[in-house]
Amino acid sequence: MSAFPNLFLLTVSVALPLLAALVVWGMGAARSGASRIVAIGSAALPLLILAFAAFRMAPETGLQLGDRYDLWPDLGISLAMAVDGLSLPFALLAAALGTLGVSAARNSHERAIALLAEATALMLFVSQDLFVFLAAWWLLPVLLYTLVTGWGRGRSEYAATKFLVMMLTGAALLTVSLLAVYLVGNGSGDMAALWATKPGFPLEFLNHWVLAGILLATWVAAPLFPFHTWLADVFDTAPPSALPLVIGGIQAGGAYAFVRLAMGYFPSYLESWLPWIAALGVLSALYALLATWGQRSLLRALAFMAIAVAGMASVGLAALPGQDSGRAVFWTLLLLLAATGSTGLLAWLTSEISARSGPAEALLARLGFLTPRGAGFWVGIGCVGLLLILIPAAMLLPSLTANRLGLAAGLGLALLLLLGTAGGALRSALVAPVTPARIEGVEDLSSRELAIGWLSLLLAAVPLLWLILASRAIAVFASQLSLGFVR
Amino acid sequence: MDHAIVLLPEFLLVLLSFAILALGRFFPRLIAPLTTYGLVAVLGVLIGQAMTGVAGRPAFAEAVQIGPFAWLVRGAILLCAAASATLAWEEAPARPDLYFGLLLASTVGAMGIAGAADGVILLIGCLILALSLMGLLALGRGRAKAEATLKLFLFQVVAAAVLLFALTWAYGLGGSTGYVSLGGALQTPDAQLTFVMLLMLGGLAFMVAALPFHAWLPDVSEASMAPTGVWLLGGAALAAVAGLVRALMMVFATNTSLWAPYVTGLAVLSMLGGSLLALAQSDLRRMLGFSAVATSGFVLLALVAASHAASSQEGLSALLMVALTAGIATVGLLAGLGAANARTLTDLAGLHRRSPWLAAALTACALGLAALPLAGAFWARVALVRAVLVHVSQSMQFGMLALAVLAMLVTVLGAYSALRIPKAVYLAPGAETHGAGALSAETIDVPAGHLLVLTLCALLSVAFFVAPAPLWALVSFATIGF
Repeated sequence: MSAFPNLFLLTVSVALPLLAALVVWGMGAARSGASRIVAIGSAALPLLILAFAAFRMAPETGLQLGDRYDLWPDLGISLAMAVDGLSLPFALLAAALGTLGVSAARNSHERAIALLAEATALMLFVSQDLFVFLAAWWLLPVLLYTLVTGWGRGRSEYAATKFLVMMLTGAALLTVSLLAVYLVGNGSGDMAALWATKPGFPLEFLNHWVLAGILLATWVAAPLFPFHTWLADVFDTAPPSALPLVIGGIQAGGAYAFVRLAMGYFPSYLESWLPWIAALGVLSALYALLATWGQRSLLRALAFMAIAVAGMASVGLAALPGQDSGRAVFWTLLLLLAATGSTGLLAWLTSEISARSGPAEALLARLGFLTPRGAGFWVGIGCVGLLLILIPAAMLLPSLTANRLGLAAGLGLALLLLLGTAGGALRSALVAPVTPARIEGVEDLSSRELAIGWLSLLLAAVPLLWLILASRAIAVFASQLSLGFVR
Repeated sequence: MDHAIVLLPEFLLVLLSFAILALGRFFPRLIAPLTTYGLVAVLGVLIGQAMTGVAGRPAFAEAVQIGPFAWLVRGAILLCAAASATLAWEEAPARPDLYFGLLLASTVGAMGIAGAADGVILLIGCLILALSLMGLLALGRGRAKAEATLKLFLFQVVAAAVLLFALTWAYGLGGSTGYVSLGGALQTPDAQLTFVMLLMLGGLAFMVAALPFHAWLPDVSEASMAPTGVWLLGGAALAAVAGLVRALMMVFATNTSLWAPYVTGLAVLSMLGGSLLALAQSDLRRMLGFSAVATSGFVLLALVAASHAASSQEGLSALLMVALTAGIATVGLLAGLGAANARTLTDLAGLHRRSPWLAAALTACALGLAALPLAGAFWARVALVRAVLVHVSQSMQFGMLALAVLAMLVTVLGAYSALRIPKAVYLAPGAETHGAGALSAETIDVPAGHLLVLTLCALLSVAFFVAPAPLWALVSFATIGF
């Protein structure tokens, strides 16, 4: 199965943050400095391990680095972990954003829960067993709910509750659907084995009902209109420790589940849904872009941009009936990963600035970013964001040409997305309640505040490195597609 | 001899109960350890019976049958009784001889219900259990105990009367009160049989507190001391479930379609109503009472899944798994709440500063009540939905799919309700704003018995999530026969 000795890399990647969570919890408040070092180290190591794996993957092979531990043999449930070109970039994203989240946690309990959330997100992406996937799908929202409600600000209670209820409702539907898939399969939770058999249900309508359950769960997580309402509220109130994994675990998880579950198991039934998925994508992107322009909070603007990206990605995936489904998936996933990566990073930065120095918009003003001298910041952020979205979006077009609706929608949305990304964010910053006194007080800034401001500009370029890692891994997935993995 | 040795555990418990009631006043300090260790010893006898093959034999002209199902339930009942007795070391009322004597008597009643294969034994078991429970409740503390005791009395009297009426009618129709004989005689479904079934179901629905027959349980739960609550929501609840399952599955074995629709209705009402009402409670013991109503709904749903021959094994396994994991969580929570002397969520604020272990163990048990990952109850809920879907695939009753969806959606409600406990323990505003120093100074001196029960429940709950296979093997073994 493995192209090279797996060295239990995935087990270590998941177990490290898990064990670190227990250690950090045990260390308590007394050794805060030490627990911070342990936490950040344990959160970052999986990123390095998975990056190493990304460069060692063999494109011609399917699932790699497989580790398996029997959990419930009678029901065919095992703690089976493996990665392919689809799982690995998502796991990388979760590890990268999870590390950011852990680094932003302010006390040992928050740090431990952020570590648990990272381990759960990694498990979500590397698990090759339906039931373990389900357990992670249920657990991740609970952990993020805990972070938001415990260390959030403003109406965090309301936002966290809405998020939890919507996500768990999706999880409930997903559970019934996946159990149905499991039962008509070979009595094993092994996804690869189930996908290989693809028995389907004896009655036509059941296939569509089960698929609908999966799609609804992914749409809530993605999120697409009209299931999107939780995201902006969570962005507005979540602490910096939770925000990265809301993007890297929940939103990315929605996209991952769509490709892995819906496309993996129901390719033929999915085709009749594709026009609806494309329509929902268009609607989501348009609505979110319009909403972006109406936001006064930078974080809310980012949330609506994330919804727009999810809509755009849905349109890309709806191009599947074309001749070249592998390429459509490839570029769509690249778009999605790059956009979620950069959104997660920007959200973390904005939230971190807000948590440490008051409203992010005010600090940016104090740093002079709204003066001609500091306009470079926004230009920089805008350029990186545009680059990340423009390149994959442009590359998506050849795949869309097989589908006239997809082509028109793709072109229109790509344009709107560019306008929305730059315009919405800039407008949010400009209309933010910044007092002239704060702008004049630039000289009073501490070196730490200045460092945060300028480091944010540098960090915004990190997604470029991310793109390199992700594109390689996704190329492996595309090669599997050409070998008939999905179809 | 008639294999009366099968009932050796019950005989031993009766002897112990009489001894404590008669002589307990002279040795008050010995009562609690004697009861606890006695219950553990009887559990050893029960295990010994299973290993020597004694357990499977019928007794008293087949009025009692201890198959694997009854054996497992009786074992769990004994464990709950032992847990209750352990808690009562610290929380015993003014008359410990009466309290422990009644606890042992009610254990005998519960075990009788679980092993009954005759309506008369079932009725006697129900009466012994109910009367002892009333005594336990009346011996407790608190202002609400009088009202709760009266309510328990009224409901149990009605339940017993309805059950007795059903048995009399069944005797008239089938010429026997034995489950097996009745099952053989009452083959043809007609209006009379339906009426008998409805009466029997109604009587037992009072016992399992299925909605709308549930009204007594939250009140009694609220008014109970921790040991009584553990016994009520753990052992007594399990016995009631076993009594219902055995009566329906043995007497109406060939007429499952007769009761399945009514049990489905009760399941839907209980799941939905119990979970919704639990959300609205501020008193934690009352909330646990409503959660127990919801658990009854899940158990009844599993029973519906077991009503089809092809999915019987899956349904009964899921039923036991749901009942056991929910029982573990509830017992742990009651022990934890007793240790923290907490009645409301506000009382739990900042608990993690005062007793980190108590807080962590309570959280593990709350996850069990919520049926979320990190607790074995999550797998139990998965097994339940799996059983329902197996039933759908075998019976082609696609309406049952809606029940599977409903069960999972209700799980979300239950999860939100139960998550309020860890939220209060770790994240309640009081925990932060009262000042770390002030709260950390108020460390809780957790009684050893409470700590033991809570720790065991928390560890079991997490262990069954990490390794569900042993629990599944146990419940699968139990479904080989009643």
